[in-house]
Amino acid sequence: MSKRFIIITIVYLSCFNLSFSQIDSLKLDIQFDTIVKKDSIVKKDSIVKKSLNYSIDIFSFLRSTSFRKEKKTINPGNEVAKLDSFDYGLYIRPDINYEKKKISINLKPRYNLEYDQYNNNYILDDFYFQELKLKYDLSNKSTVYFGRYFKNIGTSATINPSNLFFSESISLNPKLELKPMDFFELKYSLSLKWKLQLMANIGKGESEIYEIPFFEYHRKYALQIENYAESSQFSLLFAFDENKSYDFGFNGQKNMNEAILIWVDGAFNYKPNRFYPVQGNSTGLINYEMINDNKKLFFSNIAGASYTFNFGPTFSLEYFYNGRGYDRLTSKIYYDMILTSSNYNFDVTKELAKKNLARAINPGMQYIRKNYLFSQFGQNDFLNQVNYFFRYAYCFDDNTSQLSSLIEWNVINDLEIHSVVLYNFGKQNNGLNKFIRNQIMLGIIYKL
Amino acid sequence: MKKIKTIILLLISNLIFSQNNDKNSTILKVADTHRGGQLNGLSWDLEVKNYKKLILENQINIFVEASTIENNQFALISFLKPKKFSDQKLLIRNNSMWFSKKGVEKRIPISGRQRLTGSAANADVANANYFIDYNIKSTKETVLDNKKCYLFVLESKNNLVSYSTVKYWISLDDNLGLKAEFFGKSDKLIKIATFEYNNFIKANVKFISKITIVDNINNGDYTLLEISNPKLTSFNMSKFDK
Repeated sequence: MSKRFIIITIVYLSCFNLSFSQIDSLKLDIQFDTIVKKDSIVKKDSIVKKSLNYSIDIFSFLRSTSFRKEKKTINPGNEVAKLDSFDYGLYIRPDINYEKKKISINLKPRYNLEYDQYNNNYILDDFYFQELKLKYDLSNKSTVYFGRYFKNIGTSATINPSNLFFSESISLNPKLELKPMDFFELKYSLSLKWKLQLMANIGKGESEIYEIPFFEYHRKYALQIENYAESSQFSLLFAFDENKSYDFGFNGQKNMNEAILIWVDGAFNYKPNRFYPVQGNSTGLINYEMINDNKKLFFSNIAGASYTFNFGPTFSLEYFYNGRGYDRLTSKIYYDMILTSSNYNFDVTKELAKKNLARAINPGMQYIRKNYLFSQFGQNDFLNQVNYFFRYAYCFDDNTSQLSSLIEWNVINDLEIHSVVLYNFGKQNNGLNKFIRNQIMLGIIYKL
Repeated sequence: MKKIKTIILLLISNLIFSQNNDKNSTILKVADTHRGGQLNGLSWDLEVKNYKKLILENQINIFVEASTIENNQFALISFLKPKKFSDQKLLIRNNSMWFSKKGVEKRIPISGRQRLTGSAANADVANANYFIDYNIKSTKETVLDNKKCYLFVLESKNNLVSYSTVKYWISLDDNLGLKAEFFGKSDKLIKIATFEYNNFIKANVKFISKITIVDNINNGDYTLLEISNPKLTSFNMSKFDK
């Protein structure tokens, strides 16, 4: 009897407690719904921002470059690269952004004044648009992008094989902007996590890689599928161009914990643009030729990880397999070609040899061998004033290496002084040490 | 008969437990909404003042655009002032983060700890969405500064968030988060935050106006975050793409 009483009492009290909880929860739910209820959000038109933002960077620099110009090097007599051992310049870089309702416009005109020692000390002035980009929201889920800009794709901060539009997707000197091309894009959000993007590269824009004696420009089209998960993201890209070359790119990243991040960035390329040396020349006048005839499939991938220390800096390590890079035999032909090029002194043969050397300097790949290790140590806003990054690259195939650093010192909030240093190590005239010995750039940026 | 009674008792206690859990979750969600979480679209201005040894070290102005949809949290943090930071942006999608600045306009993926160093330090405390990031370990009623409160003990759902445990005081009458203590993995108290609500996002819906974050490890170090111009809004979904 007493047990029954206890049970009844518990059930009674529980029911009372239950109904109390339900009422309480209901009250809370109503409170929550009132705050987040969609139709109670203020009218869409009234909240759309109308804004014009702009900033201007006035950037001046001094640069000293030590490079190879002896006979039997890649740049004999400096007649191929025509570099200055000392130069300076002034870059004026306004960034203008205008947003109204569904439209956003980015304008980045550039005006560059540069002292050109090689060409009789002329001051070069150059005006172009680094970015001229229109963004229009067709709906809440679809957006169109159109204009001239640098299209960023990929996860690595060193090199992005999955960027199927740009062979040089990262600059060794981050103070120098990479030249843009012309794009049209349509992005559609299938859901919160899945995105679909059609991309068309419709013009070569400011890109110099499509000038003679380098590659012929062809329009390129790509489809990107992108997924965002809880702590990771990946993208798959399929591309083809008018020259019937095909690419499949992929990149992804994952935050393993609060300190460790891992990533991959790779591609399969069929018929990519890359120059490689062959013996014999189509003219029959010289012994070698740098050609772009790659009717096979290449695989490239960079895999990396970074760790952020409790006291601030981040260390990253990456391994890069460059399938498009030269194997030992091709590399031997490459250096034999460089060694013999300066032997050609007659007009026609000299021009052919110079064309080969120009392509040897810029073969459409940032790195010309197959296996590389990259490491970086750096930190932003150290002591509230300094950003510093040290990067080391090592080539397993020819044992050459490269050390570079970027130090930015924000003297005051509007003024930045920086230095960019590059130093190549290893056997002379080889690998990373074949062209530039070292370079130091000192710059000052005033932010208006 | 005995078995049936036991089963009934278990069912009832389970029901009570789940009801209480629902209630606690809702309290946490409501408290999040008053700090900018759990809403489809919201933007606000944020002024961050960092003090070291009681002396103002720097002042940063930030514009935050945030959205929470189906338990996915997105935020785009644009640095406005000082000029040395004015081209920097931090994109947050759940536990993935990207950083961009002029010259490195590509959005570079970063870890949670990287976000906590330099200019973005403490911005995460202001942006935390506790309902999504933490499990409720326990709750009890208590009193804080003569005000009746719930004390939530929250445990991180994974090792991607900066603090493994948070003690969170939520007012009993209007479900506003009043104070939070942030603990590291070794149960060490790292930061203490107090919240004030003098903004409104709709009539009678209070919104966070000030957060004071005191560093419990370095004496005399603290951060003031002042929030202004909160606006309910809606974003195109591409806003939070990398």
